[in-house]
Amino acid sequence: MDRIHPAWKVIAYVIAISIAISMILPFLWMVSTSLKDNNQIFMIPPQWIPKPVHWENYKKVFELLNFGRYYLNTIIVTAGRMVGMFFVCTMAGYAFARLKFPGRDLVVLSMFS
Amino acid sequence: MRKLKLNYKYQQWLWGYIFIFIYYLPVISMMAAVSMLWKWLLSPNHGLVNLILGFFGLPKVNWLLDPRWAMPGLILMSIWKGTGFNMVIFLAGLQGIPKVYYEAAKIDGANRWQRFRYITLPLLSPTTFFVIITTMIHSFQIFQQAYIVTEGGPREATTTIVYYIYKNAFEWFNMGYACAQAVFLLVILLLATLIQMKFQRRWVFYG
Repeated sequence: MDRIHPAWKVIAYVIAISIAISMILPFLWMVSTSLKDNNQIFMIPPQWIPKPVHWENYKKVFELLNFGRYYLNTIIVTAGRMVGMFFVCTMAGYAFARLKFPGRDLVVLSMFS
Repeated sequence: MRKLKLNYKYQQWLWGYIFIFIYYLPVISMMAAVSMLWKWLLSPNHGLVNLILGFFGLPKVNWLLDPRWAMPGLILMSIWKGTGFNMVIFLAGLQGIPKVYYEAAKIDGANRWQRFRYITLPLLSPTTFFVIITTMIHSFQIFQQAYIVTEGGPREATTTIVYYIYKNAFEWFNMGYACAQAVFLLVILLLATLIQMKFQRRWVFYG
């Protein structure tokens, strides 16, 4: 009865795919740049797959910095935050969902900010 | 035949998740890294954005050094980063609409547009309201973009209010003035939210 015309489907897919490409291109660009040396970065036209590939950038990541220590710090922050969030957020969510009190919506909205 | 249909369904499901993954990728990457990345993407001669513009035969734009184009550059980047988050909210809202309504409307002879206009839009209005409020609040608080990408920008074209507060507090050490501004920003945000809440009664429909 009301099937979508194939042309509209094609248009929808073209829009979705082009937005998806624009979303992922910067990331591919970042990965590609991470494998270049300084001369290749400023090359015109740009190389998407650098020749030769410079893997030593990744080696430097582990050599130059105290990488393990920084990751440990990050993990501590993440764990602490997750535990805290779990308790506070579930309780706050319960309060806002099940209890009715004056000014509730205002409090919810001001918590977003 | 049945296996083929199952396979088709699975493919649809898989591609849906691939799209969600791609759209959501910018959200899970942190703002500071994204800012650095976009500072590079928007650079006038070697940036990807200008290369793509050139590919379509459009003139090069001096994104971050031209006062007229600095803010559009930041807006482009913020849209790129924020799309995925709001998409997931809308996705949840869409999935929350019961199928029963559509079936009932089909039986009553409503066409596709009518079903969208009288079922999807009203039942999605709380989601839209949430997205509008959170996007507004986050946009008022834009800081990292201005701080990392443009540093307030050419001739203050991208000095946002939060960046100005930061400069007052930690660069010029007018701590009292900065705190006053921060309080004022809070008041403005609350006022804007209150106004939105007042108008929501006209168009937000809680089913």
